[in-house]
Amino acid sequence: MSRWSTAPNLTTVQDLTKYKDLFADPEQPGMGRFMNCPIGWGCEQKNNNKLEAYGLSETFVNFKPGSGAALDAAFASAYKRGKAVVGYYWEPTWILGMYDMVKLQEPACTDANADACAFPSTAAHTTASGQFVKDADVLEDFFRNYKTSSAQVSSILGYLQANEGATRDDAAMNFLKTEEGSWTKWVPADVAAKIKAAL
Amino acid sequence: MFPETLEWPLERWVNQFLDWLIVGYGDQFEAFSGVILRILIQIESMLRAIPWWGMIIIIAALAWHASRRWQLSLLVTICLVLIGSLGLWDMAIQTMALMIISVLISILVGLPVGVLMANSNRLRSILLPVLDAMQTMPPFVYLVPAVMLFGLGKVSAIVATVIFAIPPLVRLTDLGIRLVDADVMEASRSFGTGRLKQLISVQIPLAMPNIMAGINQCTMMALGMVVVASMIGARGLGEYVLTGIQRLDVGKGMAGGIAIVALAIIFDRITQAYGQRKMKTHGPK
Repeated sequence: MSRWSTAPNLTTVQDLTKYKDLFADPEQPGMGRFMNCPIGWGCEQKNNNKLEAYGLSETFVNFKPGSGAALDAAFASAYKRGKAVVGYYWEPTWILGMYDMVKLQEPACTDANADACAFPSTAAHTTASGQFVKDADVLEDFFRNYKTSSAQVSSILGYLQANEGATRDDAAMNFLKTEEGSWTKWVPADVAAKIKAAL
Repeated sequence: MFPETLEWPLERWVNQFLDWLIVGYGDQFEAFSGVILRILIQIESMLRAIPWWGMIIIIAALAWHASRRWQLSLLVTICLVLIGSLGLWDMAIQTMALMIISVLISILVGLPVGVLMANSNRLRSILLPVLDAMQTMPPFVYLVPAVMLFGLGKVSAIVATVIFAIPPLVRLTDLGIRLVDADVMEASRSFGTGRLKQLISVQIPLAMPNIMAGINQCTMMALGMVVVASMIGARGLGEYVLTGIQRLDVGKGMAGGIAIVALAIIFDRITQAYGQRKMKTHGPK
């Protein structure tokens, strides 16, 4: 949801019922539009259940954009025009790296609340074979210390999207320049000093 | 390899142009989209208000009016019952509304353009490549910008459908008017018929079989866009097929596909029958 919108009190998914007019669906007068995932995606099914479980399906149209490209286009144009938009999106993605979105709060899942709860976040692990660790022991510490956040990856993807013609190398350089606090922890101090000098 | 110095930044230009349109004229596009949407909602609610048997009677009557043959009325009745029996009535109505408005806009724009094209060789030489491009450009190339300008859903679907379906109508209108016999034109001129009068009462009636063939082609192309249009969130039969395909539910996809074919048969046979009757009354002997 865009911060430009005039919905300062919108913090949770349950609050949405009060804002159906802000997110009005032009095709269904009187209803809001919830931008779901394209048909057939796993998240589409999940969101169908969530809309029902939250009781939002009476005030919001469960709008399925039909393709990933259309979903992206809808979010991007809403942002460019400063219009309110509410829907499902995930990270890390360039959309979340480029546009300032607010995550609506949801309760954590328990046995009691069935579908009316947040998507759990997925942990990404770094794994290596024992042989690799034996052969490349210099890299072992690096991979052990290597840690990025979803937001960081989104912002890298956003950088690539925003800067036409930027290569992966450019994005890596930009990361090294802007996220010093993060990568200096991955490498020994002397290596970090060398990289800094090279930048 | 093609020399890099000869490359030009079309991509950036197009993106910048689109950004400029979205930011600067977004509200105007939205207003336009609102007008189309209101008309569409009107047509849709009108069609939905008709009970299913009423719809069958109306379309069967239309088929009879077009062909004066009861067999055609029976065929369209079977097609409609088939759609209903597959449980797809409501979606077929939504698709029908989308088609009707797309074809109406195509006629409103395509007919005058075709007439102008028939009267000017220069305009024709400019427009022909444009029409070729409209028919061969992969639809997603203009669908996505349409979404950014007109919003997700039916209006973008209509815009894309018109772009795709209008070329045959323009071409056949142009052809029909060009094919009108020079002798007939001269005869009407010798009776002192003015340019506009000549167009309305001689050229267009004589070109009618071709124009009707154009409308028929336009309708078929519009139906062909239904599934593609569902990829930008237009509801109706296309969405049903898309759901079937995406979930690997072959049966669902097939049922939706059959309903689209049934709709196509109805539209095709009725518009063709009108064209053939015009051929009998006005066409070459």
